[in-house]
Amino acid sequence: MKFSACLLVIVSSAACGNDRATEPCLSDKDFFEQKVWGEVMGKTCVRCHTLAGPAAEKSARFLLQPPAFPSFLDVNFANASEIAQIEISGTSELLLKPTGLVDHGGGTLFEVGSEEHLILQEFIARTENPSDPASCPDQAVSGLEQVVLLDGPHTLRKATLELAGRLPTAGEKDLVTNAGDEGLDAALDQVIDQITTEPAFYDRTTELFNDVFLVDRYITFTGRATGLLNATDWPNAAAAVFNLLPQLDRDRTNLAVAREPIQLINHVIRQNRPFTEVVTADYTVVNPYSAALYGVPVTFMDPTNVNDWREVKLSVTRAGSPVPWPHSGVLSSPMWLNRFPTTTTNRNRHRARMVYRDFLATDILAIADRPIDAATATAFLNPTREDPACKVCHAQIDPIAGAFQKWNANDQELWDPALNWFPEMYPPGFEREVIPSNEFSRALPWLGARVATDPRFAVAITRHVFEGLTGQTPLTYPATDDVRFDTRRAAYVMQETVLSGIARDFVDANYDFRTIVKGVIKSPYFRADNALDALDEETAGLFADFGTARFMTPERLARKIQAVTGAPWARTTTDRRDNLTTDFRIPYGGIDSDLIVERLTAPNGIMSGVAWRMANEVACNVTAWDFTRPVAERSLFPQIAITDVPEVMGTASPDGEAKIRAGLVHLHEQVLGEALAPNDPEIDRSYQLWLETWREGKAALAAVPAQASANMLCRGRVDQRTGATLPVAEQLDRDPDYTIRSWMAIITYLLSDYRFLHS
Amino acid sequence: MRFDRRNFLKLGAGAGLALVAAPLVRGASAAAPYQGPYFVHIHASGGWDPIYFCDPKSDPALARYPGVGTVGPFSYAATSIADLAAIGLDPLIPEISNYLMSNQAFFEKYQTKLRVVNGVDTATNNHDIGTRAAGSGQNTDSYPSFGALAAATLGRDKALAYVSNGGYDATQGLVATTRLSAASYARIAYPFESNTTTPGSAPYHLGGTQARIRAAQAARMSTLTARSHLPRVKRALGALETSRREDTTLSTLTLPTPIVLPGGLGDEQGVLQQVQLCLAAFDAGLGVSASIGLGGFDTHANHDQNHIRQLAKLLYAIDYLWESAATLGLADQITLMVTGDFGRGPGYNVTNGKDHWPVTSALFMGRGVTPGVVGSTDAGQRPVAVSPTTLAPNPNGVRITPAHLHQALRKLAGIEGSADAAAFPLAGGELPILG
Repeated sequence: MKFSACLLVIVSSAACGNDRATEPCLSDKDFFEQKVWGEVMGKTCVRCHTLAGPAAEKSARFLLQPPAFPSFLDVNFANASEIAQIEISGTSELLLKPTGLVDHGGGTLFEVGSEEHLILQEFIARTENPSDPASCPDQAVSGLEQVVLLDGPHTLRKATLELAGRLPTAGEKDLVTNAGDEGLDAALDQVIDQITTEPAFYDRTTELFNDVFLVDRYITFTGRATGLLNATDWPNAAAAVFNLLPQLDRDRTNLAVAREPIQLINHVIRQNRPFTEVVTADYTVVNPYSAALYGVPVTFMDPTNVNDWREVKLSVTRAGSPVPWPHSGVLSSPMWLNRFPTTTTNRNRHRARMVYRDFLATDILAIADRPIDAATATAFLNPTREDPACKVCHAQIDPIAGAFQKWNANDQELWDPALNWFPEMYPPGFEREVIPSNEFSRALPWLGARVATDPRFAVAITRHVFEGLTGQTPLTYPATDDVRFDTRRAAYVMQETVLSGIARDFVDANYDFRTIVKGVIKSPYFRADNALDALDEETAGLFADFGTARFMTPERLARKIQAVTGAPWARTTTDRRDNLTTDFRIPYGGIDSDLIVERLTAPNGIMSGVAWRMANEVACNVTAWDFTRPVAERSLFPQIAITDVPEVMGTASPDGEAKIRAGLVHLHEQVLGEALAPNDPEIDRSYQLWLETWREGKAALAAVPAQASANMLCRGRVDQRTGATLPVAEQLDRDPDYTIRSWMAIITYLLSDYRFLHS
Repeated sequence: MRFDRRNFLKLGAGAGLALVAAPLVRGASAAAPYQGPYFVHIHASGGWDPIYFCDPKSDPALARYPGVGTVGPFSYAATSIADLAAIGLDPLIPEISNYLMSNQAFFEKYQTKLRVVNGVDTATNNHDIGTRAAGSGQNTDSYPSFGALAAATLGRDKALAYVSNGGYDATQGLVATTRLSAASYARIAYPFESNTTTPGSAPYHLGGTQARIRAAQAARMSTLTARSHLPRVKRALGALETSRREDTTLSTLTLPTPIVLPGGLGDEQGVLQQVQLCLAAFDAGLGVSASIGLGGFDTHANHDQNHIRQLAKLLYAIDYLWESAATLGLADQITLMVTGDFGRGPGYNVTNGKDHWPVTSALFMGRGVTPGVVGSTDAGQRPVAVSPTTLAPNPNGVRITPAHLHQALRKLAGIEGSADAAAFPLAGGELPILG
């Protein structure tokens, strides 16, 4: 038995009993997964009863999805339950066929009375008399009681930083605090609804979906995106025309074109449209710059507003007449088509694979992960339709590839209605449905409509958001020979239960994108902070992916620095681009959307060096500057003055120490999100650091009084929000008590802290 | 321009940093420079064509070059790179030829250093799976690359243990992957200095304060680790602590001046710069292994033009690696593996390109590698089974697979018995692939 039914007893408050022979509380779903799938169907039936398998070719009704298929257990459970009801002379087909008692294409697989037979017998009995969910719940979600979640205020802080790159407002804090545990979900929903109206949220969704579509590859230098557009359809993209534009206009135009598919997604969210429009929209979106490039007549109130996105329907001229662009949301975007190109021999299969991966949550290569035998591959005239090792995959990807048939293989976004599909390939379509030939010119919208209504679409989008917000790749069902199968299987089922629940809510809410964001934020995968006690090895494996321990991406860390300190980590006072999104983007584990497309998720020595550099430079920039600001506007030191010291004339000052401790309490909350008392051991540690630094500095000042001036680079002379020089009267040049530099050491300490560098 | 030690920019002694490093350096291992062996994997991304390189064929249906050359035990495709225009390069920039290497020149120069493994059956025509198999020996996605495995086993605590900018570089959490860039390196190596040109001249904090901050950080992380029970949090804390032990050694790296190549060789320039950086990491005692990728081998169209060009770039990059390693005195300690996703063919498609084919070849060079050729393909480009003991063709023998290559490589590296390697066992048994 692969699964130890009692594994979760360790972590569950719901006693499950420990009699493995009877397993009294195995729910129907768990029984199917562990016994029916694990011991029978996943080992034998699935060899033939797949969508492209021999059984399907003989029109078998009983078809199974492999583990790479999203929610494959639910799908297979439902299908097997249905088939179990089909009887011949009072006996289920599910028993008769594999035992060879009736005609079965796969022959006799096991004998009557065998363990497999007994398992199927019990499964059929369970379909007739389902177990009671109250007394025997699914085990998948058991054990969560061991996990300690972030409380409401800290979940709120993490959510606002994650979604909008800011700290919570006072009103939001009050809302969540007053809501208590019972009202927390509703309060978070309310805050998230507000956040999704903020521009910063769309910066976050832009990043999230660029990690999927990687179209930022085309903003590396001006003209890269626009240069891909063919000048026949889009004359304003021709170099001779485009290059006449001022540099700023070219930059903005290129950015608008490059990110068009992502801006379409943002538009769908912003306008509260069903998210299915990302593959069905019969329009695209343009801002003043891309509207000019595409030559579409749209009037903008402000022709320089790069954030004013409007719906338009493009058209191209064919045979002297305007022909409407076959809009199908992202799928027909020129940049998506270029980013996932085809060739004359690839015949859009790459695009089909991307449709499966990005919109149907299906790694088609894993589904069709079957070794190719070079010794036999040449034995077939048309291997993709005849060789079993090939057609298992091609039967699924080639029909979708056919929906892209009208796009030119040598100019990716050139739509050519004269192109035809290849008769030796599977006909264009989706799954088992074929596109009528009279709809070939609208094949892509035809496909988009079917993708949108496929249950896997909701799963796919849920997974993208989950990965974007938690940094965790959704788990996959382990291979049966995995040495840690039991634990991995349990972890997979637990996560799958959460994600499929969010996906269902998403569908029920008419594909409201916010539903997924809320679901992920409220899930234990986002909120888990600790476990009640030390975990044994197996249980630790079960919770391997829980925990607020995501190393921040350079973009998110840049926003967090600004949120916490009030100023960006800009390159210079005149170049306000952020260090983390320019010089240190790649060394800090970011992507360039071109050659480097995988983010680093664990720090290395180089990234540690970047983090120290950030902590020191930012501390240098903001410490004295914050003291120059009016007290009410300060982010870091609202309760402290630079004259507050712990000792006066060699005598301890309890009042001074109390003020410094209060300042440290504020900084721990502001920078790290830690609510601590003034006598907390962590405040003791910080205070000791402050005190020893101060004493060292005072001694140095006594030795060399000229050092009363702050470090040249660290004076408060610049408004760090803008880079502008402060009026002389507001500048802070001197540090006679060595307090600014002591606070600077604290800022370095906190900005380099584990909790600041992780979310 | 050849690699020249004099072109390296020495960042300085790093004495100031060493002072502040003291509190976090635990034990001698982090401080002691790693001195080999080193491992480099260069991957021909897209799927190279051994028929145009080390497994030549005379059948014009499979190959359109004038003949097959031989050097010692090696046969090679006698392709030509003399005509730059014919391989898609600008003939008006003749110095481009200085950065290409022909098959003939390569085999003649490296015949005593090179082991060719032909007839490797990847059992896939898929780029992702083929790349995984080449990098890890396993088709599934749950295995670390060999480079990660070697780095974790031999130098897990080194700051730049595993440097990667291409190919399959999954680590499965065994070791951190590092992406190196010459830009801004000084700011990273001297994070407590406001003036990185003259380290020590303008620190952000007094010397004692730097050490105090690091010590307080270390103590706080110990507290957090003790309080945390979730494995992900513990892993993250451990990773940060390890990276902080590593970062103090960064100043020992001698950074090369990036090599710049003439027009049309941008992808090759990137590879050569990565070679420079990984050798710099080795030279500083900070690196164990490196993964480097060169693309452009997925030649579904105009195969001859494009593939011959990319192979010439690849061979020059290999040559550059060995020449540079020799200059630094590292050549005797480096083992190089060169792979593709899979093979191409058999024969051409209608656009004079070659499509995917599951049978390929691999190269091994350097430390621990016995020169020669093993494995083969038949006239139809199918793999010929070999005797598991002699590797001679044997119809009742076994097909060489990526798992065999990696099993042999693990043995050569001396890591086949490590706990990390044991956690990722390879199927198929052991073959004397590398001699």
